Amino acid sequence: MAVKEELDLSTKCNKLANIYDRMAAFVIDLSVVIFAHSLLAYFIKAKQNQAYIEGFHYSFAFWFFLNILFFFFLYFVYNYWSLVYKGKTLGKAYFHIRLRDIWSNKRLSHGQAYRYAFWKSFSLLLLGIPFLAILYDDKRRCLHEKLSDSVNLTIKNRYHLPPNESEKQFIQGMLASFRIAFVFLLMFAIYHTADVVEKEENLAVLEMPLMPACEQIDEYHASSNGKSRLEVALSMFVLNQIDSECLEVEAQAAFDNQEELALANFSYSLLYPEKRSEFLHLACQQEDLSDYCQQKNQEDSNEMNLLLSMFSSYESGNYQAVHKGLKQLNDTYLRPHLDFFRLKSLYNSTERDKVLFGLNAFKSSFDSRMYQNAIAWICKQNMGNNCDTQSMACQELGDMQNFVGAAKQVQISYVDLRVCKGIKSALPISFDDSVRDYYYAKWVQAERGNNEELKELVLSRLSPIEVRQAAYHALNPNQDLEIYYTHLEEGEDKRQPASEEP
Amino acid sequence: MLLPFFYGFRPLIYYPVSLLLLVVQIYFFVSTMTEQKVAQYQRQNILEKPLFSKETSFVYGKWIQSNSKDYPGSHHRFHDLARGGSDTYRLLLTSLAIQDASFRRNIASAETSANTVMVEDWKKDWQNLMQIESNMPIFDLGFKSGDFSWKNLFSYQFLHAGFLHFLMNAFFFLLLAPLVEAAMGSVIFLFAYLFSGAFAAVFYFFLHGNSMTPLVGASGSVSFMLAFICIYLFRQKIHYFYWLLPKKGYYGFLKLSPLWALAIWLVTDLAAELSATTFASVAHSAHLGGMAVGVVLGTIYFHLDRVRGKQDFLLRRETSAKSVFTN
Repeated sequence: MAVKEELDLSTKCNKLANIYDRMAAFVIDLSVVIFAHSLLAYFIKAKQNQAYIEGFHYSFAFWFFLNILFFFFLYFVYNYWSLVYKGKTLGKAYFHIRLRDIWSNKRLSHGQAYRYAFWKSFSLLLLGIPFLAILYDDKRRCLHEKLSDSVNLTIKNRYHLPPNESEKQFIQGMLASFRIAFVFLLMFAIYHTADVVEKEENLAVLEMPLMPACEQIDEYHASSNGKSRLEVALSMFVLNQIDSECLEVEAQAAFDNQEELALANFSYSLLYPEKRSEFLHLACQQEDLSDYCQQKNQEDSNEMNLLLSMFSSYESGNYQAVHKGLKQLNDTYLRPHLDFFRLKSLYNSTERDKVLFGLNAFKSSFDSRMYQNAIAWICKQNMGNNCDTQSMACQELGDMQNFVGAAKQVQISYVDLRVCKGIKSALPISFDDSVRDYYYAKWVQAERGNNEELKELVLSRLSPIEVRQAAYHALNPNQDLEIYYTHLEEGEDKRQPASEEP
Repeated sequence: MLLPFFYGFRPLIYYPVSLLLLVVQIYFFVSTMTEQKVAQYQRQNILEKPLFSKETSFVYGKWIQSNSKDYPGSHHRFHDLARGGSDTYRLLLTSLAIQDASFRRNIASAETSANTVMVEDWKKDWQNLMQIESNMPIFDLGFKSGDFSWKNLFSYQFLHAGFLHFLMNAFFFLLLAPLVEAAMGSVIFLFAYLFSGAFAAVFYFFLHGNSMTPLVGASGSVSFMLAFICIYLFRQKIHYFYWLLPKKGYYGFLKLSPLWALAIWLVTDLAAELSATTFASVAHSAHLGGMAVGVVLGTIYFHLDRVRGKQDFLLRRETSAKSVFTN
């Protein structure tokens, strides 16, 4: 039985193709396919673009995927067709490269061409990484060539007629002018890319705060005993419960429906302070909705007037006035928020002890979530003043089971809480000890400057990493501990950075 | 990368009409640059006012609803998203409103919101915007398909939207204009250049009849010159710059048929035009219009000059011009 032998590459006729020639041929082939794709896939691209600007994300993903798939399909068909019928692609033809069966030195069969085209498209899909196999093969074969039993051969040396004198002059002159033009093109490309990136960033910035959670309005509206949505939204906005966007949407809806025009104008007066007087003037013309319109004494005002005066007072820091207003405002559906609002006003109007005492004494009468938020808020206020004054609120917050949500609500970071409490062991923290130690060590270093204490604390831990940390710090007393941790984060120990809350 | 380089940059001194057209373009560009920038800044200030885009999107949304048959589904979708509170879509709708000729014509009868304070403000801003636009060279002299004007059919060819726009057109103008002038003769070239630009604008007008977005730039005429010269010289081989790899031997010049350049240009423009959205900033249809004129005139001139045996047009032109100078 005859043994099948591979092509003999030692003869002059069977010369392996140059790698650069093959790369250049690949660039030509790819350009041809991209060119064809741009025209043939216009329908898909139009749909994709339309879905993108209309904000249909799933539809955009579908058309985008189809576009990519179609490109690879074209690439496959181009390779398959040209190899079966011509034995070469356009790029290979330009560089005098032929793809041959490694056993018979003949043109590829249908099956081989199919395998070649399929695996080549697949390699391209994998960002061309399988092409690197060419570097480790004695016959300069990529993965797709190995899988299709083929090899790239040069059929003859590249031969060009040398240019004549005038041709040479032309090329030299043109190349010089072309280089200048090329620099301009490059500048254009950079400018254009920067422009596109800037536009995208601007769009992203625009898009980010666009969709505030306005669902809370529905929730409170359902239990508001016949109050309109705009009324609810207005009250919630004044109490800082919803974003201005939410109120604006509601007010705009009122304008659209030609209902509650006075209230809608009133809402706009809060949304656009620069036009407040104009909106309020109009609101008063449309409906005598508050004492503001009649310039009456604001002490005996109705609900709307109270909200307005409270809003202004709160903005100007007149918390006593806010507290006074809140006493008069008796609205059950906003009760929890009013209580919290009242508490903030009370606290800021220096009746601090009373607030905390009152909170504790009447704990059972408060909504539990509101209570936790209030405690967290007071804790946060204390932190802002002075960490050394022990805060009962912080202590209490630490003891709460669900303190995470409350702390998050008022944006207390775990580190801040720990620094203020100063008692490591009592911290209700769920993450592992090493991270806690890190934060604590930072605190000791930053707040007290007592390295011995830090050393002791650190050495008392049994973890080898922590011992190394202590050793490092002992050897490099002048080095900031942060450097060590940065080093660790880059290396074997993936600790959480200080700014990141677990 | 494959870039047609034809016969390189010819000395413009032998091509008076090309020189004249380039000088006019530079003059227009330089003289309108500052005015354009200032007006652009003022216009942008108005467009970026949140209350302006909110009210414009509202008024235009109502307009779309009342004339729903005239507008595609995408406009209704933008309207819904803008009503949902999206600033991005408010801005999109605002830009569509500014482009919409019929909306601008009938704005007095458009339904506004009941928010009279905002509406009064918006009306003032809108009038300011219209005033600024009417004074902007790009709007004053650019071709607007929604507001047909014979004057603008020609004036738009000499204006450019920015430095890079001008630079790109000037690059191809310098490559192509001398060749076309040599082939056609100076006077005919001048008329053909202006006519092709006008035809490109008319072609654009038929495809985007209701838009107030100004069309500017010499691209239509440049496309005409490219198509003309590719057809006229299709039996010859021209220089192309190619770049395959950053290695000597894989970039440089090669000689190919000019029809390749025409094919690349045509397919690129056709594909871009077919897949373009409402917000496309390049008028590919105008390029196609210019190309159509180029193909027709190129074919005519090819047959005429074949009969007369003028295929060495460039050399004859330059030597005869040289003799004029030397004598």
